[in-house]
Amino acid sequence: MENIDKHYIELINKEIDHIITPAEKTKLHNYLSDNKTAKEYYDALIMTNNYVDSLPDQEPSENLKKQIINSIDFSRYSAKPQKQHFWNLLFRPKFRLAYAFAIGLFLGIIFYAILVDNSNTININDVYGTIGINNEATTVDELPLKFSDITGKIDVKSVDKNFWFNLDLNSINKFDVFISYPEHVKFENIRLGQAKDIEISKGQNFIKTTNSGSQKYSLLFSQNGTGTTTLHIQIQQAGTVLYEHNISL
Amino acid sequence: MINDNKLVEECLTGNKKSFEEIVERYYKTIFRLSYRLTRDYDNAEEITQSTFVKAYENLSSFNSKYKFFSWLYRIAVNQAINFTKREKNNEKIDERFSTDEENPDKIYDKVELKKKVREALMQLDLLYRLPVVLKHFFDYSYKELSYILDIPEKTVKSRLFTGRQILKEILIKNRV
Repeated sequence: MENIDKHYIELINKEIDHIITPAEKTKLHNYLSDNKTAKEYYDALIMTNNYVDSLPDQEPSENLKKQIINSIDFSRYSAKPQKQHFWNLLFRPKFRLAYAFAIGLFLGIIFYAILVDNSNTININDVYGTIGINNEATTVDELPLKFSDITGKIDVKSVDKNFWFNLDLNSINKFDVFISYPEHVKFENIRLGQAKDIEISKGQNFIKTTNSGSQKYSLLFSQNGTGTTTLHIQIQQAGTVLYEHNISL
Repeated sequence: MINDNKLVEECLTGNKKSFEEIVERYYKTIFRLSYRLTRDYDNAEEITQSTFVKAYENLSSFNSKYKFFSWLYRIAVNQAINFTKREKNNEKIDERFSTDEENPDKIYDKVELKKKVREALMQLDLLYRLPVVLKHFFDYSYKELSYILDIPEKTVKSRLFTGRQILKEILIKNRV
């Protein structure tokens, strides 16, 4: 082996392992044809490997597989029966549909409460109250109304942190009154005077009343904080804005 | 056919049948490997059994980025090494082998040759016998051998080439 270049010993082994490239094979055999010792070494190694490759396989006994299975403790990874059974029961396919329905219903209710509810019509009986109005109230604004078929007036009065709109309105056709207000203002109540068949609904920082005929009622608000509060009143009929005005407190 | 990694996943959930399938796939090959390393039938069966027991116990540590059978062979090799260290006499030759149906003289020659080759193989130190057996009888690549034997690829080649060299010399010495 001392007369054989290590590189060619590697090439011989590569040939035995069938991973020699054609170029390497040519190079190897050119070397072997010129080196007798290397050629003898090569022949002997090839023969050795052929002998080893020719050894037959041995087969195990027929019982070996059974022996192996019997020697294993399969409880190592076995599932915890009760817990798994409970969860399997809980999440069986036929129940999943029910769970999906329940979740959908719950989410629908939340969605409805957050988004839809804000524009719901308020039951007048829920908000009607008997809050007395202080005679020492300050008149903030007085708005005479005369346009289209609508006549009447709107007074805005305040005392302390409370203020209210007194609406005295007449019309033949229906019209809407919108009062929008900032975050620190809260709609408290409606006081019905001579109002009937009035529709009232509350949105995000606004109150809307739908009026027709003769209506007389008050809308009561309260406010937090200090500083100027600005409200906006708008009157619409058939989708057309007939009147709007800012009120500062 | 379900792949090995999927079977392993199922075993880890307590599926006994999946492990039985793994045993079915590999027990013969593991036995043949064990036999070639120890040349003893009973020892080979014992090593095979302990290989699967060990594999089952350590299933949760199997890394699916490697081939499952390579991981299994690694366990088998370690079991064989441990067994050989315990059994100091590792030159016992087992006479159970089959022969072709030919005339008696030819049969005798073949038998003798095979016996000498086996003996030569057993005379190899386990260090060299392992890569030679795994390469010749299971045709693993150098990279796979590197993983199974847990040695660098360069060392695999070195031991394999040296093992063949020593084997050749033993056979020459025994007039094969």
